[in-house]
Parts: sequence; C-alpha cells; structure tokens
Amino acid sequence: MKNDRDQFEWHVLRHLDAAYDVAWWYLQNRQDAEDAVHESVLKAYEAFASFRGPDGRPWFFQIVRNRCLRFLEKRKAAPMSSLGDFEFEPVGAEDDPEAALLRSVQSEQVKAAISELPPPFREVLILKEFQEQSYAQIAEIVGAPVGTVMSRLSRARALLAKRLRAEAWGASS
Amino acid sequence: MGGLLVTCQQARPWIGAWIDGELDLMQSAELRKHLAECQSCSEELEALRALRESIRKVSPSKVSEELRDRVARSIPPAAMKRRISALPLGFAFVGGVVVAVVGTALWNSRASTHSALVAELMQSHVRSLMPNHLLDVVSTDQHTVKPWFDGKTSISPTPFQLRTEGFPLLGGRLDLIEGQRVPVFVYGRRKHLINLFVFPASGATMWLEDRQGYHLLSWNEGELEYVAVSDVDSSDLKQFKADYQTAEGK
Repeated sequence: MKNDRDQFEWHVLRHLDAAYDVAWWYLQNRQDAEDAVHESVLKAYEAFASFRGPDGRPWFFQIVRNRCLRFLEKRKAAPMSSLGDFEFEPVGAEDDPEAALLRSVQSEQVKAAISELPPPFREVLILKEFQEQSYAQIAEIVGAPVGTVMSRLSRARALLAKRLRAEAWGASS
Repeated sequence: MGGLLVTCQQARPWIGAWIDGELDLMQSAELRKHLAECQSCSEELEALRALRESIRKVSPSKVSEELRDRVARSIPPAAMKRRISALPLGFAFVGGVVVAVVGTALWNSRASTHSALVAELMQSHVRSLMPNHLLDVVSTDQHTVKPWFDGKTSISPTPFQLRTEGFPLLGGRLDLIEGQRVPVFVYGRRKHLINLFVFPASGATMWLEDRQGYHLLSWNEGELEYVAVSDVDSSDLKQFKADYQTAEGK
C-alpha cells in the first residue's frame, strides 16, 4: 500500500454518505444512525490493517451492519437470523397485470412501505436497490449464502409490490 | 410451448437476477428466448421494472455536517484529505528527526515497551472519540474534576485550568493503560481534543512522537509524567505543554 491514509480515504471515508443511508434504513432514526456510522468509521480505522481486497465498500458496510444490529439488540428488536430460504414469489399480480399501478405510487409511500418490511428482507433490498451491491457482495455483508440473498430479495420485492399495489388501490378508490 | 429451453418455473427466479445483472451470458440468452414467447413472464419483468422505478424515487439520506465534522475530528487529518500546507509537513519532518534522535539515544533498550505504550495510548485516544467514551466526569472546574479521581488511582494529579483560553478543560476519565488505572484529563483545542494521561514518573526524558497522524508529547514534572495525545499540530501540543507547566508553576 502506497499510503494507508489515502487507502482509508478511498476504501472507507468515500462511502460515508452511503454508509449513513444504509444505517438509516436499519435504525430509522437520525441520532442512532449517526452514532452507528461514527463508531463504524472508528472501528474500520482500527481494523483497517486487516482489510484485504479490491473494494472497501462491502467490508465497511459489514461493519456498519454489525454496529446497527447492536443498536437494534439494545432496542430488543426482532432478531435478524431466524429466517431461512423462501420460495420464489412473483411481483406481478394475477388479477392486475398493470405495471403502471406500481409506477403511480409516491416516493413517501415507497419509503414507508420499505420501512415496514421485516429487517432481513429490507436489508437485502436496500443493499441491492440503493447501494447497487452484487449478490456476492450482499452475501458477504449479511453473512448469508448467495442463494439465500436471492430468495430474500425476491420475497422482499413481492412483499413490497403487494403493499404498494394496495396503497395505489386505496388512493384510486 | 415446445422448443423452449427453460420453463416458466425455471425462468421466474431468473427474471429478478437478470435485472440485477446477475445472470451469465448463457442464462441471459435462454431467458430472453423464453421472454419472447411467454406473456406472463414478460409481464413479471415489466412489474419488476416498474417496482424498481418506484423504489428509486426514494432519495437517499444525507450525512449531516455535524456527523462529517465528528468523523473528521476523530480520524487523523491526512485521512480526511485536509489542505496540505508546507507547515504541517515541516513539523512532521522536524518531528521525525526528533523521534529519530530521541529514539536512538534514550529508547534503545526499551524500544518495544515504549512502542507498546504508544500503541495503547493511541488506542485509548481513538476510543475516547467514540460517543460516550470521552468523559467520566464532565466539568470545566478543576475542583470538581480532581476529587472525582480520589481513591481511584495511586496518584492524585491536578487537572489545571489553563489561563490561556485556547485549551479549555472539558473533564476527565479513568482509563486502563499497561494494566494500570490511569487518570486522563481532557482538554479542547478548537474542534479537536487533547487527552492528557498522567503516570507516576518513570525517569524518562521528554519525548515527542508522530504516529498515524496523531502526535504524542511527553514530559516530566516532579513525581509525575505526562503524555498528551492529540491530532492537533505538534506546535499546538508544545504550546499546551508550556501553558500547562505555567499553570502548574503558579
């Protein structure tokens, strides 16, 4: 490494905004998310010597996730690990093939609906949709096999679509 | 629907993976062929795309200036890509020379112990920057901070309030260094922090060390040995030492 500090800047500090967004989705509270991110940066700084790899982002997100889970533990939130694989579920509805309905929802409704997803589904969804992490990277971050990531993501999308479709129906009737 | 390489049942889970860019070339080709002939799978693809469009309407939460500031304060400046002026570089160079000279002259026999101590002090400093780790006793009054340490450590140093306003006393805490309970006084310097560790005198001479963007400055006074740790300029740290000694001499 030519310079540890430049490396830290590149692999960790550059992703501060992204890390905060991730933490926000776990904790949904500004103060907690800020504390979790701050602690994660310090933790990453301490552990940086052990970092190996081309991309610090999944590594840093993993630290952020662990911090967030600790916060959630303190709050006695539902555990993250009790879920296994799921059957594939379609996003489109039998009785309503109109994708336009899904497009008609407002961003606030989407945000609220994502917030209400059970945490194990929410985390894979936000890591994919907002952070554009690959399945392999998400698997590394959440510590689950790629197949599990895939099935949770499919379930997350199905749940979200169902919820949004209900919202859109509610708004139009 | 003969001739299809994949069935709907096989194709369905692939559709999500496809829009996520997770299918290899072969799978993509097969899926495309299936989609061209299958209405319901095409609708599923369309629904997934619509869902993604809606999800991405949500704008990301942004880091507040306050958090950016907190992070900046707790990580050595170089890591935050601060302005690099000739001045700190000059100091760093001088610091390096001092360390080199002091290192060979005084620390030869104790090099490893010294290095371990510096590492512990650094860790304590970094830890202190985490939320709720900085202060056990919060007070700008030395007459409040000092008694808090009574009976908690083998020495009872005084956390002097410095006459100059540049280094306000913020409070103190108890830390564990080399397995011993050590009183630590915390001072501010603009938006930065100085941790002042107090030990029984060991007979070591003054030393200055730069490590990972932090500066450590040690000196003796009577029965006590002080080590100040901070990411402020080493010139600021020397000024702090001078002010502290002045307050002590009063």
